[in-house]
Amino acid sequence: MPKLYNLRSIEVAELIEEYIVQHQLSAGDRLPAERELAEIYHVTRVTLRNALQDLIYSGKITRHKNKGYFVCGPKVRRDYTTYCFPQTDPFLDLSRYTTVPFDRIPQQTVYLGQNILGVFEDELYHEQYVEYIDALPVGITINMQKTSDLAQFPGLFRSSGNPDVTKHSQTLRLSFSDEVFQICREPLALEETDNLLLLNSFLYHNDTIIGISQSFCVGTRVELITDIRIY
Amino acid sequence: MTGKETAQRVAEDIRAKIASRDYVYGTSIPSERALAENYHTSRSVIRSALEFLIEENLIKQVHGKGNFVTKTQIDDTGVHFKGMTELLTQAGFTPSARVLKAQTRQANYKFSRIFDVLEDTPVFQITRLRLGNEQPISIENTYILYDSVKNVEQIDFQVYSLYDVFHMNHIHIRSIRHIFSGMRLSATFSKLLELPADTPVVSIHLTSTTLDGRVAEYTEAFVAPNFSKFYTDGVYCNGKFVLDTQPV
Repeated sequence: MPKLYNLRSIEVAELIEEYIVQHQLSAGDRLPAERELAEIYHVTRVTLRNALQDLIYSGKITRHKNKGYFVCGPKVRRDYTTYCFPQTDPFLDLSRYTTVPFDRIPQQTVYLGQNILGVFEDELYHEQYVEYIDALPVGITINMQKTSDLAQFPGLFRSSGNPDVTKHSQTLRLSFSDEVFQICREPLALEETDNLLLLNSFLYHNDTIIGISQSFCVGTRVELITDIRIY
Repeated sequence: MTGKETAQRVAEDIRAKIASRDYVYGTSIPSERALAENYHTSRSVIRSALEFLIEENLIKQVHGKGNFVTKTQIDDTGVHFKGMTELLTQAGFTPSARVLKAQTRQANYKFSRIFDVLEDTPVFQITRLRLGNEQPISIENTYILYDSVKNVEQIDFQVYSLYDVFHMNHIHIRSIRHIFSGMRLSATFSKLLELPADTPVVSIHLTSTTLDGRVAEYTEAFVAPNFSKFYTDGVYCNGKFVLDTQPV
């Protein structure tokens, strides 16, 4: 088999993760300097930097300029399929979870709400909040309904047991929008190396979409879990 | 003996070798030229012998690669759900896979924890690039316990899906935990996916568990933005989530 690509950096990333555990480093602890790591693993600085970059991009370590590399805490685990109903999320420790109302909404989210729910902007009800685990901001969620539906379908997003919701469809993308990144940058304390997951839940009442929940989650801090049963 | 009779005899012999597992599922049988030499006959006779076996679905011909022993008619290389091939095809993409790397290594710290085995346990690792019409879809880095699959190093994973192989080794997957997150592509991965460096992508960790609760497979995948939907989208109904790519 021709070896076309240098995949050594994947192995080095694995070794650094192992180093973190074996040396019992926890969130905020510093890793050895690049030169030292390169010596430990007998790799070039280029390969080492690729490995470190992978670990930064996947949220395992972070880099502070002129100070070095630091270990990040474990990612916040959330249930993928019922993300819009935090009250019933089996992975979420509600005692550590808080939300703070947020007053901005991306224009693209408004357009999505208008198009899917079939209303003008002044007939679109929306509420936004920033989600925190302890002091760490992890995402912004925007819930939308038709204003005229509020009386018929109250508390749509409060729990997953709402009998009005017969099913919901779930999509996950990466956000590539500069507008969204700018809006989220400050409330979510985003770095250039972060990324934003774009999670949509379309809530159905029979065959009609009655609610949309859109979340922007920081991909370096959150992981979304679902178990698929095979029959 | 006529050519046809010879062909039938050769086919019978190959059939017996498949049955006795001399020729193992997932691997290729000897080339036409080698078979012709072995049976002291012409390549055209060998070709008609192979025709019989292809008709019986005992082997399948893969262009430029040879003839592979098959026992199922599943012929997609979809890793986790057969429906992915269907959805990709509907969207106009002909799926294929390219093996970037395959090796047997020790579990070490990370995989000893994932598979609940000792650190020196051999683990088979295969890194594949999935393509649709030669356009990169995802990189999938898969690990299985070396001893869980017979002759794992000989299996052509560009031809067979992991699930075909599990099926043949009597490994029955009960559930697959999906962990979705986001990351940016470093130099190595961005080149492979033909995307600019630092592009954000969906990352997926998949852990397949068997009926008796053992981990059969662990995969880390990075998916090109245009193809995330094939991995992530689904419908939640009556307390159950079904991916769009899952067979109903």
